[in-house]
Amino acid sequence: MIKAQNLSKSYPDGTKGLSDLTLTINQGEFVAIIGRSGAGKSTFLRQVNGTILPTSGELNVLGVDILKAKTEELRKLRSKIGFIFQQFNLVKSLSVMQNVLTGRLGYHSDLAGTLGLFSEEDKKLALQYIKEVGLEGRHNSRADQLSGGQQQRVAIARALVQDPQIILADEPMASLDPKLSEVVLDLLKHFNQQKKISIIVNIHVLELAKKYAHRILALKAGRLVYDGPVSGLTDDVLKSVYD
Amino acid sequence: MTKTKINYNFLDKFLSFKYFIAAVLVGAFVWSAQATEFDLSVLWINRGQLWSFITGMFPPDTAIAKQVFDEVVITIQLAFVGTVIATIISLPLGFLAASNVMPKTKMGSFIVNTTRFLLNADRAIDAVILALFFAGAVGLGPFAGTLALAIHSVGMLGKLFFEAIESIDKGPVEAVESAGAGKLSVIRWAMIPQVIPYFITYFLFRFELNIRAAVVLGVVGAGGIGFLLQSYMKLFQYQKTCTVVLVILVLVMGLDYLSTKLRQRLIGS
Repeated sequence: MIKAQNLSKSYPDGTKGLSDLTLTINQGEFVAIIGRSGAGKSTFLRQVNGTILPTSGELNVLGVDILKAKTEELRKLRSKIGFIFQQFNLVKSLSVMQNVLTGRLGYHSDLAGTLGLFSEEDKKLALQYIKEVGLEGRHNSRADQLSGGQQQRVAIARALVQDPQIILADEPMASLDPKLSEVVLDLLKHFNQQKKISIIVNIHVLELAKKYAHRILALKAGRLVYDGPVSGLTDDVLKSVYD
Repeated sequence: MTKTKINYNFLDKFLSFKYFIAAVLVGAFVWSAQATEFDLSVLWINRGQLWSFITGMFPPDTAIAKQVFDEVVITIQLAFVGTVIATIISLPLGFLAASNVMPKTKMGSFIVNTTRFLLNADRAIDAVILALFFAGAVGLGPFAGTLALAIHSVGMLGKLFFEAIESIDKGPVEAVESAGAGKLSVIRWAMIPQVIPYFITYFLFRFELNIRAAVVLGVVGAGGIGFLLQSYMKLFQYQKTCTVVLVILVLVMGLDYLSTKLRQRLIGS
């Protein structure tokens, strides 16, 4: 499903985002990526949906070759990949419903999307996921009238309405208090099990990574230093990741 | 011992020549005042005339109230049409000049830079000059004034629009892009909702400026209340002139008040 071979990213100023990453992630996995900030966790997620392009290596996501894909192919691929951000990234002046509906834009032509020609099916799906993330009846509220935790639920509904095969989550709990972190991760876990959506989540809190993921990837300065089950995270491994 | 090196900033360097600079300023002032025939004693010598001019204005002539009111309406209409047309032209230009909308290619930055250059050039030409130009083309009257305001306002509105677009939160843009939305859909759903309050504010601000400008345009013959003012002055009808001046005063002050209130409610600052 996701196949990376010697994947590297260097920026014009010479800094390395990722070096020589080789891994395979299968459908339905719940993967947590750990590592210090700047280790390349965000870069990796953004390469998976092609918003940052790798400089060398190979990356195949859902059968699409990221390095060779044309704009339209990338757009189609992205419609199958939900993305959840640390800062929620909702359009604050729009309603919950409108924000969730933007998750359906990948299924429409650019013109139809611009004109807001969403189908009844789109609206039904949106309402359904607004309910499933626990915000039933709030679909007409403006996004900025919601609390942080509620905004992140809207963002999860926006990702789910895409009917995604993969959800990428970049520190989805870092702006929330600890209790809400678990709520967000519980939701992701729920949809991982119910719909077999693969989840790849960047987490800086080790305990949460251990609690939710089947598999841990550890990055250090752009290199993959650990790839394996939670049980294999020995003190030695952790020391090498965080030192 | 090493000498401590102090980096003087430009102001410090500038001020170290203060006597020289003062001499230059005084010289330039005297030279310019002579050229412009600046002479306060003229005011004193002609004080009788000045006094009769001022007393001649009172009491203001209220008989022309209806006519003045009609011209005020035309002035506002002139400014309104000019501002609306300017906004319609400025909206696409604002997006073309925004570096976060255009692709990061050579072609993209060429479009950005060219549009910005055109907006700068447009701002540099005053509305009065444009009005004189259009009066030559379409004749004296409100139409020339409307065209002048429409064209002149594009420069400022286009700049304000692209600056608003460039200062948006790019998080929502990334989110909507990540969902597979096309370029125009991203603009529609992630950018426009963020900039709309600013665009409305800038429209009102420019409308206010254009009403003031429309008064001045009337003086050069482009219709409205300014034209009335200039006509009465030429005919030495000071009481009528006074009425017009008072109405302009009320118009501009009232407008200032309304526009400030509205802007505060829109963007709450």
